[in-house]
Amino acid sequence: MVQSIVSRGRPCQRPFRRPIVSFATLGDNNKNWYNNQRSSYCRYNTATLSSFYSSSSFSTANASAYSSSSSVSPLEVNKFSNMSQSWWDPQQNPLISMNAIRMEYIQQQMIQFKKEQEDMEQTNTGEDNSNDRDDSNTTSSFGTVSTHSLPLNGFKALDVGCGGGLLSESLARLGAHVTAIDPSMELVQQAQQHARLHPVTSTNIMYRGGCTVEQLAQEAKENSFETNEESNNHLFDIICLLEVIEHVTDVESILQATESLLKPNTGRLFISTLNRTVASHLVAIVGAEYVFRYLPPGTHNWDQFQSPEELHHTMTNLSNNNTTTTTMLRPLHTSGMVMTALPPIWNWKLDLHNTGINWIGTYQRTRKQ
Amino acid sequence: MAFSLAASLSRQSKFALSRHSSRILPMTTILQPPPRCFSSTVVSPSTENDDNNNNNFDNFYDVTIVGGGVVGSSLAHLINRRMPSLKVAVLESRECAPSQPSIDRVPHPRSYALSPASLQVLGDSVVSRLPLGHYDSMQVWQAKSPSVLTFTARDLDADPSKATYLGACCEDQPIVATLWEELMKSPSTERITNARLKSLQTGHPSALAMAELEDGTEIQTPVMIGADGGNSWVRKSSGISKIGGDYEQSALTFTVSLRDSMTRRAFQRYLDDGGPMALLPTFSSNHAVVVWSAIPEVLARWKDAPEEDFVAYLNECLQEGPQRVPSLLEGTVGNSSGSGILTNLVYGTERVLDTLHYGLAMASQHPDPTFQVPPRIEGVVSPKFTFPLSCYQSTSYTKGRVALVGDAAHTVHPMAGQGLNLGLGDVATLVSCLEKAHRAGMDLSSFLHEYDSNRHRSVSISLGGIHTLQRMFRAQNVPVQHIKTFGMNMIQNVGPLRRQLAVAAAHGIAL
Ligand SMILES: Cc1cc2nc3c(=O)[nH]c(=O)nc-3n(C[C@H](O)[C@H](O)[C@H](O)COP(=O)(O)OP(=O)(O)OC[C@H]3O[C@@H](n4cnc5c(N)ncnc54)[C@H](O)[C@@H]3O)c2cc1C
Repeated sequence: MVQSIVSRGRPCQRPFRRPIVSFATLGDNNKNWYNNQRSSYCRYNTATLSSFYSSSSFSTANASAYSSSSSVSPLEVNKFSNMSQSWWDPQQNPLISMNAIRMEYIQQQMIQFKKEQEDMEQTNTGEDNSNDRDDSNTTSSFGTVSTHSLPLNGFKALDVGCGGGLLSESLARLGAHVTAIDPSMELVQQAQQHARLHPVTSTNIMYRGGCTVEQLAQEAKENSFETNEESNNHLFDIICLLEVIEHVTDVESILQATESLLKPNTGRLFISTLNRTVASHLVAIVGAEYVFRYLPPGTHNWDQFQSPEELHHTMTNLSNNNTTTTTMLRPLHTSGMVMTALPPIWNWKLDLHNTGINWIGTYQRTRKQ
Repeated sequence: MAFSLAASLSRQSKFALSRHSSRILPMTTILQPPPRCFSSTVVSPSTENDDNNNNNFDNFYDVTIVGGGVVGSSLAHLINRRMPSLKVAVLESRECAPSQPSIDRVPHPRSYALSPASLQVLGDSVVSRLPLGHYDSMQVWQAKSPSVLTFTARDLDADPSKATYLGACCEDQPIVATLWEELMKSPSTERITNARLKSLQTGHPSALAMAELEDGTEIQTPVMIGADGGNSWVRKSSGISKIGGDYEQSALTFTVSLRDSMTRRAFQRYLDDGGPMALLPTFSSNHAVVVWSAIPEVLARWKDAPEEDFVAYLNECLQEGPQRVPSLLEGTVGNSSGSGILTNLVYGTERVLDTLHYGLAMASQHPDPTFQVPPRIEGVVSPKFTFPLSCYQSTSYTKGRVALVGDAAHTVHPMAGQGLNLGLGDVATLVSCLEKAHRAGMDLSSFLHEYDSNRHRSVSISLGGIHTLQRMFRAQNVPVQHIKTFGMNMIQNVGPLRRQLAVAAAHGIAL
């Protein structure tokens, strides 16, 4: 297996160590992607992701999975694939400026979480439940700086609906080992190309195009069944569903799949979307799409917007209707995201009290009461 | 010499890696402590690195700064302080690192008037080691006018305990040398002297910017900064054009010795023939730097004049206090029709507004507007430097992944002392835009367009203001003379306005 060939978690002596494993070695293993990636995220630095994905067996698997998935609307996928050209242009993609505060929020929450964990560890020194975090100083050691100073160091993150890779790159540069999936092949190809522009993003992100979170959850389930494994190592510390649920047809399905991939208790799920208010209709649809044309008309459908309460309600329903699981999603924190300046300088800030248009929330997977 | 040596090295070992510092050494010389030059640290070639993958980050820098002058090195230093994990390269065409001037020197006339905001950009570790000439107030007055403007530190900050001084003067050389010394301490900064750039690609969101050196090294970078001065190669290679024009004036600067010492006040007087003459404090209390702008003929006349005559003229110019304005009736205003008066009124109002907006590029309100006679000049103790004054500004400050700062982006008349203040203002704004991206883990170029729109606008206003002020003070006719006086008096007497203007001036921006 791959593990035997590559050296695991070897501290990086020099910046930007190049992958050593050849494409041929990976080809034999890529069918069981999940199994490979779960054994050690350190391996990211040793596998060239592009060659990983160009292997034919992989892309066929993706194509079939995509057609069978339930929550993704093909129309939506096309819509975003068409935007792929402008994805990385800060003047054209409003998500770029919004990303700055999404990341501020995620870091705030994770730093607070780390602090709580440390406090807990101090009070009850007996058990160490953070042992599944890989704190080795690997690929992201950039220049002379150790990854330990990075706020998301050692977290395993999943970016669902990664698009052009905006959020995935942010998570990776801040220290996380990222798995990034999107139903659109074109966008993911673009994301992979862009990730090659930086030493950290070119090694610390595992991209998968044509992949839905349901598919990923299914693979994980089959895998843990096969190996009969109890540990949480294959689950994620951070899962991001940002600006995604307003574009999917079946929110419950995506939530269910996401939940199953999140580490119980210690994992954090971030969801951001648009609220279903008059204001959001005016701003996000009438204003952004039709009046100012910041977004292509038809980017958003107001009926798919949700308030934090509506989403919470969906989660509760999900938990009540699904008797097979013992866990549920629970909201921990919500904040509004407010635009403070108009283009050409998009500017955003977090505002706890104004969730009327854009909002972002933190969720935890806990045992059902 | 060093160049060819380096080039031959590069053939053997494409990029030499020093293990200890993980520094990558392109063929140009890497510097040891100044003032030694050409001391190239050469290490064995890397073997492990040579897999044939085209995605090579050996010559990758997070920020690449072309030009290690005062603005470029300030930028590198501020990036270092605020984002120490970023790998920065400074490419400087000069052959060696700038060295500190000798201690027992006469102050050099190439000096800058730095605002407190600018000193903050330089940082305490640098400022504490600089030979500064502080001043608490600046006195501005003009020929044939009774008014005097005095700006004080209190105009900068409503809280008097915080307002300690209005500004400080410092020579160019120690600032650059000290900044370079600081940069040497940083493990993530590469200072490359003797850099010869050949070509440049500005890049775009999906492609890095690239600079090719004459020896074939290709530097890849998400953000490329042009800090290479008024004749910027980066600006030209990026295809950014500039607009503006030369004043019909030049500046003459030199150091003078004084009979009495300077008393923490800077002086600026507008002479009858238009040009402002400034007397600025230096680190040495019985020396001052004179910056005098005038038409080239006037300067030429004085440049080679006998020193005695010249000193006498200087003293005459600076010692003369406020004067009575010549009678309005002698002028050309209001001698014909009513519409003429209206025209004049409109014109006058405009000038007053201009003055209100920009006159204060130099200072503020103080309860003590009394005229203070500057110390008497005894002799000229340095060579005299002349430089043409120009007012150019790039049509855009960014293109692709390239951004321009300092003189590369704009050159200004040093009359308002804003040359460097504006440049350091660029540095502060640019660093916050980079920081916004860096904090969010984003591509560092993500918010460069914000730098362009924020900075281009405020510098345009400043330049326009300096330009207007310049033209105004050169005007010879009497009504303008009156209007100037009126404007200056208004500024002197309207407190809040003065404060606002002073704050704007101190931060290198106009309102
Ligand atoms: C003689 C003189 C006197 C002045 N006096 C005053 C004054 O009294 N008050 C005032 O406010 N302003 C004054 N100025 C203006 C002031 O110096 C500038 O505003 C200031 O220096 C701008 O700094 P900068 O770093 O942008 O450019 P510079 O200081 O010009 O630095 C540019 C740097 O880039 C390097 N470089 C150039 N081309 C390349 C290239 N292709 N590759 C690599 N490196 C390159 C140069 O070697 C230099 O080190 C004066 C200017 C001059 C020339």
